Amino acid sequence: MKKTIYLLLAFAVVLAGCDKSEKENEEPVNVLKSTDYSGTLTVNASSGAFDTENVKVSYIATEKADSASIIMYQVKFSPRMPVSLDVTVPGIVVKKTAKGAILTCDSIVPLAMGGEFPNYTVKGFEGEIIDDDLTFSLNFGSTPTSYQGKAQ
Amino acid sequence: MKALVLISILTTVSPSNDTLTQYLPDVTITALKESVAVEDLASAVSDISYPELKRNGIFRPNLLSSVVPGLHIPDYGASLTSTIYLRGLGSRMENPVMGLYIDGIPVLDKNTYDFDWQGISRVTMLRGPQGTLYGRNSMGGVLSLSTLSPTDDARPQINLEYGNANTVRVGASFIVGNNSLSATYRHTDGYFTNTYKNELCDPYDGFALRWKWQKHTHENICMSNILSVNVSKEGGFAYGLWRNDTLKSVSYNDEGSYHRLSVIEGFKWHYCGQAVKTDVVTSLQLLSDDMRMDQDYTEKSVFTLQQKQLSGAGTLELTFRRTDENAVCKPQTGLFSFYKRNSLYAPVLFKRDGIETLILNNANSHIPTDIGYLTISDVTMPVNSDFIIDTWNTALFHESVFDLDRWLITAGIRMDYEGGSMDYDCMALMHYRFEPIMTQDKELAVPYIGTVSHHHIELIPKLSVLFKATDAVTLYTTISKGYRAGGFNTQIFSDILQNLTMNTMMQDLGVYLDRQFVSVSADNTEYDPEYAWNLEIGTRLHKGTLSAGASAYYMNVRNQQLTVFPPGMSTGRMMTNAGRSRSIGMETELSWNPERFRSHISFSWCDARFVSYNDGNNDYSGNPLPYVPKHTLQVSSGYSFRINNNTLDIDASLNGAGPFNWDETGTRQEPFRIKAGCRIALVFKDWEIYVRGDNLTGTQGRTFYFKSVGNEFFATDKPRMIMIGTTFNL
Repeated sequence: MKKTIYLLLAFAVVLAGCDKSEKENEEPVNVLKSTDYSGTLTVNASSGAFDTENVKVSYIATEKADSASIIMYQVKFSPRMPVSLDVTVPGIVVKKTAKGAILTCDSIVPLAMGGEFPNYTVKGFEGEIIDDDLTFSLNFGSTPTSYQGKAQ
Repeated sequence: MKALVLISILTTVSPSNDTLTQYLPDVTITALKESVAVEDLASAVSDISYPELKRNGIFRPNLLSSVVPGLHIPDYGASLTSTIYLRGLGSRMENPVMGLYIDGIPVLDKNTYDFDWQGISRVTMLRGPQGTLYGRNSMGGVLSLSTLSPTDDARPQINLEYGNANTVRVGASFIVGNNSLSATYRHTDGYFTNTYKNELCDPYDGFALRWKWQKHTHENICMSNILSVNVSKEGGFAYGLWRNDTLKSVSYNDEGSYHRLSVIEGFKWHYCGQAVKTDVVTSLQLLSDDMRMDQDYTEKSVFTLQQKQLSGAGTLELTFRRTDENAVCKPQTGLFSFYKRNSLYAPVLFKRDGIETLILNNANSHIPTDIGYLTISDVTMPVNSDFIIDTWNTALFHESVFDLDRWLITAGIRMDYEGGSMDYDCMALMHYRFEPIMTQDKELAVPYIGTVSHHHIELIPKLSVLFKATDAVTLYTTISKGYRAGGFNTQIFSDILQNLTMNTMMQDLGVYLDRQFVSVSADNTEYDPEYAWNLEIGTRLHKGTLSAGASAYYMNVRNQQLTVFPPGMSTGRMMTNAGRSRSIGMETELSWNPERFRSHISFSWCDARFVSYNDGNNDYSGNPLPYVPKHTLQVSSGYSFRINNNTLDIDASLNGAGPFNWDETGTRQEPFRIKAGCRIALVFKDWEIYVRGDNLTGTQGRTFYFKSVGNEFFATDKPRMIMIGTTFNL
C-alpha cells in the first residue's frame, strides 16, 4: 500500500513539473508584461564613459506584446549636464524567444521634455530580456549608451 | 463724508481747551489694570495729558515716537503698518511688542493700531514687559488711552485745521447726559508724487468715531459701553528705489491702496462689593481691510499683492480685587480669554515682466540651451492664497501688592495658553511650453492645501519692589517677563507656490534639475513666541513743578522674531525666530512747568545686539539689531504770554531718533536725525487760533527700508508741514 502511495505522489510531482515547464515555454516570466527594472546606465560621452547606478527603466508592453516602449528615468548624457531627463524610446519591436525576448529598433525619435527629441534620435537599438534581466545598447544621436538592469 | 462732518460740526457742541485735565485729581486716573496709582508703579511710566498732546500736535499713536522715550513708530506707508520698536524689541510684521488699550479695552489687531483720535484725555505708556497683567504682546510695554468720559467736566469742542498738501483735519467732541461722543476726519492729498503716474501716491481720507456711555445703574454697579469706529481710504506706500547710493523718486506702475473699516465694541461692568470688587470687560472686534500693493515698486509689471481680510474677535476678562484700598495686601486675580478668526485672501499676481524675470529667467538658467527653453504665454500668472487663521487664548493671572508703609512689593504670575491654526488653500495656474520640443501650451494647476497648528503655554512671572525714599523721591527695581505671540507666515506662500509650480512643471516635463527650486514648506511657516526677561532699576522725582524719571534696563530676548527676506530672487518675506539678543538701555524724562513756562525732555539710549544669530549663510552675532534707534530725543519748551485777558502760547520742539541699522549686517546705517516743530497759539476765552509747524528743518531722512526681489527701497520723512487751525470751546 505504501509503495502505491509513493508511486502516486511521484507521478503527481512529475506531472506538476511538466505543467510548470510548459507554462514557462508559453509565456516567460516578465517578458511580455510591463516591468520596472533597476540597473546601470553607461554613456560613452565624448569626454569618456561614465556609469549611473540605480537607473530605473520601465518596459511598457503593448497589448499584443509585439512591441514596447522603454522609459529611462532621470538619465544624463554627460556627467556635467545640469539636468537629468526622463526619456522614452517608443516603437521597439519585440520578438519572443524561449527564454525571453529580443528587442530591436532603429531611427526612432525619442520623447522627452513633453515632445519629440530629434537631436537624440535612437539608432541601432539592440536589447534582450532573459528572465529578470534587461540589457540593451543604443546610440542616442551620436552618444553610445548601454543598460543592464534587473526586474524590481 | 466731508459734508457729513461739516454738518456735524455746525450742529454739535464742543469741549473745552485744557479742561480735560484741569479737573484731574492729584492721583492720576488711568485705564490701567494695576491695583495702585501710576505714581506708585514700579515701572517706567510716561504719562501725557491732553494739553501736552495738543501742544505737540499728537493725534495718532505714531506721533508719540520719541515723546515716549525709546518708543519708535516710523511714520511711513499706510495705517496698516504700525511698525513699533521699543527697547530693542519689535519687527515690521505680525504681532506687536506693545499692547494697546483704549479705556481698558484691548485692541487685538496691530492693523488697527494706527488711527486718528479726538477726545483723548490722557495717554499712559508703561515701558518694559507687562506680561503678568496684560499677557501676550506686551513685552515692550503697554499704551493706554483714556478717552473723554461722561463724568468729565469738559466743554464741547470743535477743531478745524488746514495745511499744506491740502490737509484738512476737523474734529468735535462733546458730552450729553451719560454719553460722550467724539469724531474726527482728516484728508490729505498726499506728500509724495509717483513720478511714473505723475500723481500723489499717498492720499488719505480717514474718519474716526468714538462713543462712550457710562452710568451708575446701582449704588455699587457702574457700567460703560465704548464704541470705536475707524474708516480710512488711503493711497499706497511711498518707496523710492535705492541704487548706486542714490535714492530715486517714487515711481511704480501698479495700484497702491489701503481701505480699512475697524469696529471695536467694548462693554465694562464694575461691581464694588463690601470685600471684593469685580470687573468684567468684554469686547467684540471687527476688522475689514483691503491692501493692494505694487510689490516690486518699479515701473515694470513684475508682480502685485492684494491682502484682503475680514477678522472678528471676542475678548472677555474677569478681574477680582480687594475692595479695601487701605489694606496692606492688595490682591488681584483675573481670567482672560479671547478668540479670533481671520479670513485672509492674499493673491499674488505675477505680471509679464515678473514672469520673464522671476520665473523664466530663473528656470531657463538651469536648462542647457541645446536642450530647449521654457516659455509661459500667460500675460498674468495668479498665485491665489486663501487662509483661515484661528487664534485662541486663555489666561489665569494673579498679582498681589504689599503696601508696607514706604515699601511696595509686587509679586505676580500669569499662565497663558495660546493656540492657533491656519487652513491654507492656495493655487497657482499657468500655461507653459518647452520649446522647441513642445508645440502647444500645456495648462498646469498646482494646488497647495493643508492645515498647520500650534499650541503654547507660557508662565509669566513678575517681582518688583518700590521704595518711597522721601515724599518726592521713589526708587524701584523690577524683574519681569513678557512674550510676543507666535504665528504663521502668510506672506511666504507666494514663494512656496512659485517654487512648487516650477518643480511640478519640471516633473511634468520629466526634467530634473540638479539644484531644485527650494523653498520652505507650509510646516515651516509657523514661528514661535518671543520671550524677554527684563531687569530694571529706576527712580522718580516729583517736587513742585519739577518731575523727573530715569530707568536703566537689561533685557534678555530669546527666540527673537525678525523679518527676513529669503535669499535670491524670492518674492516673499517671513518671520523667523532668529536666535537671541540682548538690550541694554537707559530712559529719562524731565518736566519742569513753573507757572507760564513749560519744558520737557525725553531721552533714551539703547544698545540692542544679537547674542547669537546665524541665518545659515552668515553669523550676525554681536551685530546691532536692525530698525532699532540707538537714541530717541524729544525736547520741547514753551511759554504763555498774557495779553490783556488773552494768552499767547509759543511752543517749540525738537524730535529725533537714530542712528539705525537697516539690516543684520550692520553696514547700512541711518544717522541720528532731528526735526523741529513749533506751535504758536492765540488763546481767547472760548476759542483759539494757532499755527503749527512740523519738520520745519525740512529733514529728509530715510524712515524705513524695504527690499523686494533684490532691489532696495526707502521711505523718507514727510516734508515740512505748516498747519493753521482753530479750536472752539462752546
